[in-house]
Amino acid sequence: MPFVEGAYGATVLIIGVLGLSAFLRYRAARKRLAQVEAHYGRVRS
Amino acid sequence: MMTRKARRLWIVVVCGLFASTATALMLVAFRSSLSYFLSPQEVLVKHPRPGEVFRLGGVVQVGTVVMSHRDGKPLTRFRITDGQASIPVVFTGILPDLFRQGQGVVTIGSMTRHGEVFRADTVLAKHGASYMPADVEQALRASGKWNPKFGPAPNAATWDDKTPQQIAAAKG
Amino acid sequence: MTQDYPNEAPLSAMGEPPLEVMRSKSGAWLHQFANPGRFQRFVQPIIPWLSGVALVLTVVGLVWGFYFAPPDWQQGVTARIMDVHVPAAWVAMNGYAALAICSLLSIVWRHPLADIAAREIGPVGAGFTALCLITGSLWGRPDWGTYWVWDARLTSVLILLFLYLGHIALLRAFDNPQHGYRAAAILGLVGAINLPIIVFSVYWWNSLHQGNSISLTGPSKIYITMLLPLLVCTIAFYLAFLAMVLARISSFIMETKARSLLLAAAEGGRS
Repeated sequence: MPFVEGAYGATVLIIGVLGLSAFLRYRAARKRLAQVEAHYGRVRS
Repeated sequence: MMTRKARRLWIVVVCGLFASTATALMLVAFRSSLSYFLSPQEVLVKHPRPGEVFRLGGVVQVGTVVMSHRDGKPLTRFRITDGQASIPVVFTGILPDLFRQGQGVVTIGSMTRHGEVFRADTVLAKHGASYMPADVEQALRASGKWNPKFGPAPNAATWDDKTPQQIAAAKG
Repeated sequence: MTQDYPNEAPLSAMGEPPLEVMRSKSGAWLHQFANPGRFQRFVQPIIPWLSGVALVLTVVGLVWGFYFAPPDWQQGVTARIMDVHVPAAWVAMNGYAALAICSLLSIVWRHPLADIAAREIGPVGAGFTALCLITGSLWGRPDWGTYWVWDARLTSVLILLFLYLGHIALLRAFDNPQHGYRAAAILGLVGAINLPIIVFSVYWWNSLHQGNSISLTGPSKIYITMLLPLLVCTIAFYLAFLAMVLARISSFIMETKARSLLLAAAEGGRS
């Protein structure tokens, strides 16, 4: 049984999914906020 | 008059004290069932009934391993020791790769009818906390500082950052 | 809502902001974003760099551990699983410690960012805990001869996973997000009792899991060429955890802000 391959595969999978979802969510949130602010005026914060 | 913040902080501190005391008491009360295995010494004191399944753990006593076959299956006899007491074990089946003399082991099974031998259904290898490449182990052996058969690796400070050549050169 | 000082108010704004707060033209609700706003200005320039360094170190550490770490004299190549298993365990535990600190900040000081941080640490920490359990299981089969045993170390880490999952669920279980934050903070703080149990379980009770190889006081019991990839992976996992959590907190603040702006605009248009 390829235990080492399995462990490293699980690592790439889990960290990959966590990282990718964080990245995509971050990019989407930035884009959305920029859109909304462009439409309704920028808010100082 | 305390501020709300100070009062909340005190509530957290007091609750924390109570909760950790309760946990500590629980852990002490369930002490025996939290241990994964009994040592040979504990087995002699507790005297589990023949047939009662429990886990026996310790070190495979050096020089006690006898391997044979019965009905085409590997049969192994050895003794498990904790330095104070030792119990003979008989196991039919394939041992894990890490099983060797002087190595930690946990076995699951029960005492035989007359209570002197532990019949193991499962043998699990326990491994120590040290990790070393094969050439370092060879160098330690060559320098006469360690033979894995007779106990755990020497103090890590003597080998964890030296090259195998340095270790082999430092005869002692 | 208690009102110890003006900074406390942002709490309500971070969930679904009450409309009367948002409609006020005085900018009161903007003030409530003061802390998250400062957080954004500080953190947003850092996130790309942090993520980049974390990614590079993770790749270096994983390649080093998988291809180049020397096999152990007894375990052979399965010892390489250490390089992902041990850092995952450390991140899982320290992630929970961070979550517990956020819970304390939330309960006592009502810090608005602490609730958001706890909310976003949860899923990432649960991921690393699951990773620790999976890699540990794949290491246990060849070495111990079993995928799983109910010994104190393994069981207490499984409890850690359930604490994370419970925190994630509880925080999102209420219609009023404030109630969710409050309840989750209590769970987060109580669950911290599990942390010392995980650390000392291998010394307090007989366990199949071995003791710690690395301590702050003594020499490491790991040979130097096996230790280096472990250290690289450890730094990489911590940075990855930090980058993901900061990005998620930042995302949440932006999402909330966008939603508030839209709501305010809709309300303004109607009146």
